[in-house]
Amino acid sequence: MTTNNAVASKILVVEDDAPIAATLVRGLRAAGFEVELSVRGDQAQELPLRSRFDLVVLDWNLPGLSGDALLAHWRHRVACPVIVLTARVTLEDRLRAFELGAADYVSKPFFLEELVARIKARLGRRSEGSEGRKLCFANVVVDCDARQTLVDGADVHLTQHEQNVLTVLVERADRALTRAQIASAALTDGEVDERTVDSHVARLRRKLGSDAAKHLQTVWGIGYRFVSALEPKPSARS
Amino acid sequence: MIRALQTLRRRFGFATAALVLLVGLALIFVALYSVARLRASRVSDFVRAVAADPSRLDCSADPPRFGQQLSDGSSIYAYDRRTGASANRQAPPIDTGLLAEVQGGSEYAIKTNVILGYGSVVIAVDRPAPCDVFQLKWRATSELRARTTLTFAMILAVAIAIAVAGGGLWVVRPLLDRLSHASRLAARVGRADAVIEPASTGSRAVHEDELTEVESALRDAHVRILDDREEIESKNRALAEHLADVAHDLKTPLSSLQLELEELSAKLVDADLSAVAARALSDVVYIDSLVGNLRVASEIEEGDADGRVAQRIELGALIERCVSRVHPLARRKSIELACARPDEAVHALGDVLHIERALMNLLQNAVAHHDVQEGEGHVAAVLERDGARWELRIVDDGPGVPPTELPTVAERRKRSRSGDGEGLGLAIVVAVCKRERIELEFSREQPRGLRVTLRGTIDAPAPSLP
Repeated sequence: MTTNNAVASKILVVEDDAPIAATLVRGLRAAGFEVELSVRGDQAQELPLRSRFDLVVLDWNLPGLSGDALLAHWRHRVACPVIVLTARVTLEDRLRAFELGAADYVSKPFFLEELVARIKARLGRRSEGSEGRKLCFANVVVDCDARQTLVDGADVHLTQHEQNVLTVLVERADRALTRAQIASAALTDGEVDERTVDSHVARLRRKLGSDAAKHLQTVWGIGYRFVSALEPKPSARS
Repeated sequence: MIRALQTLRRRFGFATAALVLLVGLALIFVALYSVARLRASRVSDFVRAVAADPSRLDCSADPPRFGQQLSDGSSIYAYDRRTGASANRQAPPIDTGLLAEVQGGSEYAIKTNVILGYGSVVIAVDRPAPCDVFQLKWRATSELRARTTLTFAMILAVAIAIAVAGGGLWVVRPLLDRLSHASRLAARVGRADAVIEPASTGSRAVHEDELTEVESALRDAHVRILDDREEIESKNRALAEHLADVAHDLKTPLSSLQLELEELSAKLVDADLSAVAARALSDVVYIDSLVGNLRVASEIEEGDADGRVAQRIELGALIERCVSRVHPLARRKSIELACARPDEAVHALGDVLHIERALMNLLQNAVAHHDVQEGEGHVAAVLERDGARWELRIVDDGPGVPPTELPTVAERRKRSRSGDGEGLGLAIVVAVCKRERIELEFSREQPRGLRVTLRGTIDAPAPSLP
């Protein structure tokens, strides 16, 4: 998928706990983000107003000015999404964060991997809508509106059902879909047999070629998933 | 002496006096009624006796007949009104009192003994002397006595029964009323929503007896119970807050530890050290999970969450969040963890924190107990709609649970972290499902693995206003 991150997204991290803050900054920079850190609420108060940030990661308990006071201050003034890091476990705290305009929350303790995934999902959501219905991956371009799929610039002449299945998958990129979901969204009433989906996907993989086929993954126990960005498989560590 | 009994005794005294009076009046009435009835009866007997055989009293006959003994033991004889003498030697002497009445101008005079059953009647007739007055004397027969006794006994019994019932009711009713009041009071004691009126200062206050003290004690007990309850609730709140504080205080260092271990494990190249880091990371997740489970267990057991208003939960977003939280752990164990959800939202009503905890436990268990084989393991969570119901399946291809252990898989000590630990996770799942009315089913996945199925009711959106 064409998510262009040529310019690194800029993230403001507001976290007072030194070890967590240091790990966050290192981890987010390693993930390709430009990061600015503030360790006090009162110092962070005006930062998103003075500089452009794509996203703010905000700890709830801060010296100087608490996270909820900051959220209240930024509400209607700052356009970028705010992800709240909270060690609090009550529902009221969560609801209050959302009421004050938080876009998401991550409960402590958390994996950096989870936070990065949430940040990417949030930033990806912001850029949606600008790309129309033309989706690109590997050497493939899927034009949903024209109902045409090009591999290396050449039309591969998918059947109507194959085109439907591919469109359903790429429009729901990175989400696992059951065979029943794909069948009900992509096939006509006479062809809703879930096993038919398997044969359509098999033909799609063949027609799109080996590179593109890697993006159409079988998901155990579920069905299929279109993966927008392939990552190298980690080796088992335990 | 018990004062309530004294009150009863006083009332009983009044009731007894009233009873005696009532029974006396009844007897007088019965006696008067009986006398009148007897008199009328005897006069008619007399007339019938004379009518039956007038010749026996015919003084003008030859020889003259002055009377006879009747078969029922009574006798009737003729006398001279002026002298009161009878020509028949067998005739008993005439009752002078009754004769005087007749001589005074009465048509007849009668004297009866109602109790003993005998009596006599003297009646003047329009005949020449010495047969111008007759006297009928009757004696008490055993039949008459029995009938009279029975009548009196029945009347007396009925009178006594009525009097006892009325008197008893009068005596006992106020006591019953107050016992009933005390009983209602006792039933409301300790209920937070019960309104217990203060001790009456009006008419009820005159009863300064044990029942008043019982009611007063019940009121005091009610106040004490409410106070104790408030104190216990306050302590529970303090405990819950303390637990929340501990959880909060633990989460910050755990966050630091988890992030640093995550960073460290990414840099380690030595397989042994990597394994140590992975185990440490897994332990941090376990400790966090344990703290969360203890908190939910405390809330469920203490009923802290009972008053919490059920929230409208989007189950699709919730399962995605839970999967994303467990995903890093699964990836480190080479387990593919994925979830599928319908495009449209699936809403349910419930306690989002508890349901989230239950789902986290199921996912963490599936990952933690997986014995990854052939390089990769799998865990999948699939949320689907089925009409007005939702179904969430969490399946894995791990070792599963032997069929014999399936019914008890959710009990504590089963599938615990070390095999013999407390195994709180699945017990929390069961408790949360029970509380949230979610069906929970454990079954074997073929060819291997465990399938956990949760089913519940979709909360349909309210119809929008035009």
